[in-house]
Amino acid sequence: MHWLLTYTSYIFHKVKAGSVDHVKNNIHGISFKSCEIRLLIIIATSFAFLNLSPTNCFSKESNNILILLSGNNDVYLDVATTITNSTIKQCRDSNLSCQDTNFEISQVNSFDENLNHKYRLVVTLGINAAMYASDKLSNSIVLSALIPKNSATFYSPSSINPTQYYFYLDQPLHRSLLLIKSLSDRFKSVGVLVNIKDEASTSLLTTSADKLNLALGIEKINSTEQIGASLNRLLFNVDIMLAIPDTYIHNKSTVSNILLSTYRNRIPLIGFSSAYVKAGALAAIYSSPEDIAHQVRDNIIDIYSDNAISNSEQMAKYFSILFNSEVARSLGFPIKSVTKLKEEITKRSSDDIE
Amino acid sequence: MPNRQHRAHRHIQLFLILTIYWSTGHSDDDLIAFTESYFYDDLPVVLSASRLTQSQADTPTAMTIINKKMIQASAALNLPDLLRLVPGFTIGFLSDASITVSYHGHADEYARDMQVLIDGRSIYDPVYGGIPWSEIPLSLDEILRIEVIRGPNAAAYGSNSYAGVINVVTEHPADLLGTSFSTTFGYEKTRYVEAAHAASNGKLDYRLSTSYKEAEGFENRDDSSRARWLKFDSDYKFDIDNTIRTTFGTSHGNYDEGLPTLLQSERELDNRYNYQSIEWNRVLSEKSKLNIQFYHNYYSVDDLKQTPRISEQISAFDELSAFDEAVRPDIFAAAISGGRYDFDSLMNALNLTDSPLLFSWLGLKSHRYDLEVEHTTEPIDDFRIVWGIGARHDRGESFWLLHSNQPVSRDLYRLFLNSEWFATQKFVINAGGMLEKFEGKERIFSPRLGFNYHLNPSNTVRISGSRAYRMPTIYEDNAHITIQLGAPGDDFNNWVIGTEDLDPQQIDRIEAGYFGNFTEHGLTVDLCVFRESYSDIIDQYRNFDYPDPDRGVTDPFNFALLNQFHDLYQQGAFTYTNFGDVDINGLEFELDYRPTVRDMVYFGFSYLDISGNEIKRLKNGIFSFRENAEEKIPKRTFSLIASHAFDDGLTMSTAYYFTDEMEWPGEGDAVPNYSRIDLKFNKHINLANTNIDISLLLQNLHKKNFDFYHNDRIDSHNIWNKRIYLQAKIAL
Repeated sequence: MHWLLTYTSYIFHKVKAGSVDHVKNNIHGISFKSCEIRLLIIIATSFAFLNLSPTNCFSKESNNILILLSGNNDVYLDVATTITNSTIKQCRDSNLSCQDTNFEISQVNSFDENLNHKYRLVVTLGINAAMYASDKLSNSIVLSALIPKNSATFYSPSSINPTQYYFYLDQPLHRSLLLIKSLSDRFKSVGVLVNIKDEASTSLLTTSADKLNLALGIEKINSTEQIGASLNRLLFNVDIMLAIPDTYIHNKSTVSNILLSTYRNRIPLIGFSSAYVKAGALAAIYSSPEDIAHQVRDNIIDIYSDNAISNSEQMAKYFSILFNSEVARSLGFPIKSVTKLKEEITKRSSDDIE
Repeated sequence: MPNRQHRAHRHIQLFLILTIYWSTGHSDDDLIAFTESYFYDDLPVVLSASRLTQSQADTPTAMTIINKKMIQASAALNLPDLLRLVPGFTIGFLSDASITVSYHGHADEYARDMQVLIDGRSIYDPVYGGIPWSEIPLSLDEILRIEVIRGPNAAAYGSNSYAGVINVVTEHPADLLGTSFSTTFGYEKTRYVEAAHAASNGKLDYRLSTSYKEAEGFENRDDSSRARWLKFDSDYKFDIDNTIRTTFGTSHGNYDEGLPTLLQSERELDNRYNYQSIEWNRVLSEKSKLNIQFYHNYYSVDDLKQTPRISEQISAFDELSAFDEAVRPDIFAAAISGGRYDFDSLMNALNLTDSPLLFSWLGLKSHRYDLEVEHTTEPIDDFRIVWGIGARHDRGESFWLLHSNQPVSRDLYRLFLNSEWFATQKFVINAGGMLEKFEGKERIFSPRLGFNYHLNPSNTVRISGSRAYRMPTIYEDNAHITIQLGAPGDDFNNWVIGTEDLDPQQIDRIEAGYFGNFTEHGLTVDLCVFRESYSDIIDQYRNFDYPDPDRGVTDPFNFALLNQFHDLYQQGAFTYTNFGDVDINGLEFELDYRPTVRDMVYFGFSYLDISGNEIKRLKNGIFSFRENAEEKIPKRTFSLIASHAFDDGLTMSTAYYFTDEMEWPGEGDAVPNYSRIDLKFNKHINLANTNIDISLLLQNLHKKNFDFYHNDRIDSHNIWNKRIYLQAKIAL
């Protein structure tokens, strides 16, 4: 029960650190403590379900997988839980050696590098963990998930880890446009506020819009003060607005005005996160913790199947959709089935990897 | 591993370093760390259930929405002209600046049957009734949307939401950021200039706007106008849940008014208007919101008329034109007194002085103070309630209209509740009512009940019924217009006298409607059939039996002479009573088609079958009536507006308006049908951070139209000729 013991000690460590009571689950409204308990139950259930014997758990050390979390946010736990459960199940179903794998889950700030564990594979969740793995675990294959893609220009650092793979949590922009297309054929003209430095997004959007026969209205933003005026210019000439991830344009200070302006003008807004939809966007296509976990699982399976990982950078493979029925009703927009939207997008999607 | 992949890794790692730096060390609030938490952290709920408005498919009443696209496509230069688009609406221009707007007609030059709100503030004048359309500090460019509820809706908007409600929603200052200038010139020396500046610092959004307008109005009349206004609109966000919207504005206009008759002589009005409004919006929870609004409106009209002296008036009689001007008054006096008096002795015998007559039909000052607390809540899922209380103080001052230097005031207290219940996903019940207590009047209750059934997401049928009241205005309740001789206080001839306690007039409407919303095609359709019953109509009639001031004359012969003299001006007096019923069965249809963001077609049609009567006069104790309601209300209205935007920034739009022939009540005349074609060409030029729009506006292209006045006897006609305007707007 090494894995279970490891995880239990992880929780114990957290409890000892006094962090449990401070952290609330932001997504489900459940306290962290209850989430931990839930995780333990899931793990215990997994054992029962998978009929793992204690001997199965004590496997070779080199077959271990480390899941390194950037912090104690519930998102990391949700992803980690799903990775372990779905990977073990898939490995068993495919009769791969990973069915005997031990998963060790640790938080980056409590991970003891001096123990000198050897891991077949390290999965990092979030930027902090990815950075840590890049520096300290460069001998292992590292799958870094929960990484936001940013189009900023960077220069070369001195050290690199050639066996580190990145899984972006951003959805391909093309998929967002597909969502718009699937919501209604009525939407022929899409407005987007784009950071003036973000030429990559402009280019991707233009290409995708052309493919989908959508007219694109782009306002380039070079200062936050400009957002209001630029948005107003767009709203008169578009059927729908698309928000793309950019901390300058869409942040806690600006979403209120953006949502209110679009709503006052009766123009629906498509967000990039579930939080955006809960705040008032009509819909969003986004990566849920489960979506991210499944993509990591697929890559773990590839590794254990001795297949090469297809790409060192992968855009989100799976996606979720959230639809705000109350906003739709108020805008006079028909309420859509998320399942049907997903089917439609999957059907129309052509494996866009950006 | 290929080099490309190595480079990618290097980029990613530096990116990670940067994001860690942002997330840990940077203090600037605007620099939000681009970490995974950006995607998963909660955002403030902005469009909570309490903030969302009801969709058109769920409303129980027929509603026309004129949005920005329609406003920009229209060649209208003012708000009333824009309302020609609404099915069943009748617009009358008494002069370039005096306008009356009514739904289903039956309204005179001061249409009192409509409630008009601008951002929740009623602009209905409590003294005279009606809307001071030209005094409203509002540019068409500032209007976001006009929601016109066709039919009574007092349950939601209070009394005077009688025949309909015009709810003007203006642009939020944050949605019009920057500086803009606009100028329009054209027909009959029309010159409009407008300027505005809006800014935001994150917490405070504000807009300052001003306008100057002058025009000479109808070609064949002296009705030129010169008006200016200044307005400030701000919205301060304490936090995401608390905002305070403050607006105040002031306007001043000089308007040439009148007709070439003795008692309607041409003169210049001096009108002033100002308002202050403050509104606190507090979101209590995702399903609960509190709104508190206080506003004050002030309106004054300075309108004093002074006729020539009595002897000069007599000298101008056509019948005396054969005589030398100096002896005409004496000949007149001898004629009516059987040779007993010359002019001077007649004046003495009747206790009159040879002075000018003084009077005013419009001079007034009015105040409205209104406080309302409104709470929106969703106590259980799919059941939303808006309820609140309100208090209002109306005050009017007018020696000329009320025959007193003392202000007349009236208070109102109201309690209202409206609910929307999604009994099932397809079935919506709207129910509500407003209880009002006006000072000196019985309590009135205005209910509303409606059922909407969504056959599917695109098709909705509805049935609803509502009752509303129109409370008599302060003027109708207290009317006392007496022509003064020489100086205020010397009563000469009674013109309008309130003689009874008036009750509110009542309307009951039932309607069945269909609303189609085909979002895939950009098409909405609304069809409704309805029956409206107006009762206890507050109507003006001539009471020939009402005596004029006796001026202390006791001698029977002289008293008879005095009455003869009075009759030269007016025998008896006009007064108000609750009389008359009008029934209207009608059908209205609307279609709004926007296949692309560049194309728009709107079409509205109204057909009415009208019957009813009105009181005409009381003479020698006998009332007489007229069964003529169908003449006072146009049987059909039709409106069409279409626009298309071309690739190069050129937008072309056209509109057609038709109103059947009708006879305007009150001062107006019978006018033939009004049929008008407009065209508008707009060229949009987008330079760096500067937007320029140049428009050519062509109104009334195909025929002359007569508006409100059409009287050969006094040679009084308002004629719409072809009108051409050029407009330029620049937004920085």
